[in-house]
Amino acid sequence: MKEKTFRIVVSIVVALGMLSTVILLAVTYYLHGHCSIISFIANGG
Amino acid sequence: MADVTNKRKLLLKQLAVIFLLILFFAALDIAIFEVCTKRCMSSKSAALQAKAVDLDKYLPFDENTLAATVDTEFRLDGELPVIDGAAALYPVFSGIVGSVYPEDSVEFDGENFTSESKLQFRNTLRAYKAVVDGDADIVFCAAPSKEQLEYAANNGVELQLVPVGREAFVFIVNAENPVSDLTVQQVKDIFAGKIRRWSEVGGSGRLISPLQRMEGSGSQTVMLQFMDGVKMPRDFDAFLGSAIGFSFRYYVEGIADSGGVKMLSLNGVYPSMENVQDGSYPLVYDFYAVYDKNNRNPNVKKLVEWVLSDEGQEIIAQSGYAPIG
Repeated sequence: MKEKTFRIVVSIVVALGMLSTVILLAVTYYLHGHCSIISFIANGG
Repeated sequence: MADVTNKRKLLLKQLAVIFLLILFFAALDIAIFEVCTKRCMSSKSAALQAKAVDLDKYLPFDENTLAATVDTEFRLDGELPVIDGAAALYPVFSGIVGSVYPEDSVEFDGENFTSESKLQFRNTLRAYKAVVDGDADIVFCAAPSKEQLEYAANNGVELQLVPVGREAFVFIVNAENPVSDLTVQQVKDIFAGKIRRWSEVGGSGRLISPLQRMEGSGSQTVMLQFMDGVKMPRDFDAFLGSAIGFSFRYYVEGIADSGGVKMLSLNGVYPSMENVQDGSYPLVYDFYAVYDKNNRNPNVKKLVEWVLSDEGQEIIAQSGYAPIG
């Protein structure tokens, strides 16, 4: 793989990885705002 | 030949880097999901959780309703007061309406009550605002917060608080938490941040995550009263430890689908109905019928007086709460 191609692939992987993490954190933030204390504790261990 | 081998080695290194990056992000996302996201997920829809209580189950005049009613001769003539209140007390005020009001006074659109309905459900925060703004005549709630009293005063409204029943304030943990009993002082120290690990109160070595509710909610107001001025740091590390929260007994036991949690004994006394009624459970608080002292509808006082009668108190008891006095 050429150096330039490799850099592009790494950039895409990092961007997609960060995007998935940001989406997951956003979903978690939304759910946290809507879940009750009781649900949170019941699922919490 | 050497050039081909070097190229292969380079390609393998590049693929390894890409693979490790993918692995890193996958592991990060799985960790976030397991530690954080999963704890916030519920079998109930967001809409239902926002309402905090399944209104359908306690709908007055419904043949399958779980709301308690009594047979009574008491009726109101003229303008019927609009009734509202806290989620934890919805079975009570729904039962009152079901016992005293005519059936056509309640309009439910399948999700919530219509604006024409004499029975409303806004929960504590908005119910207090509604009674001040004149959108509700009587609200059934825990004591108002400082901010709610200020809102009333700023709008020239003097609130009349009439105790109509009693309920235990309870602390809840996950059902698998080995701790089942705390002293009142231990609970205060946990929420004040002085006790940080469950091992300090006979449990595991995990961190304690004391959870709080939003300001102005009924249970948060009672919690502030319980802490008696001691400051409670907010739960920014809620995901790191094993949580403890608070609520009202019947809300945990009867209204919420709370299979995964357990209520803690306080000073060795479990918050059972019997222990609430005989006064042995240490944290029992009044809940109130609240109305504007200057409300001109004569039915407001009549209805509150009826709630304090034997028939009204029967509804309180049948709904799972302790009658007053």
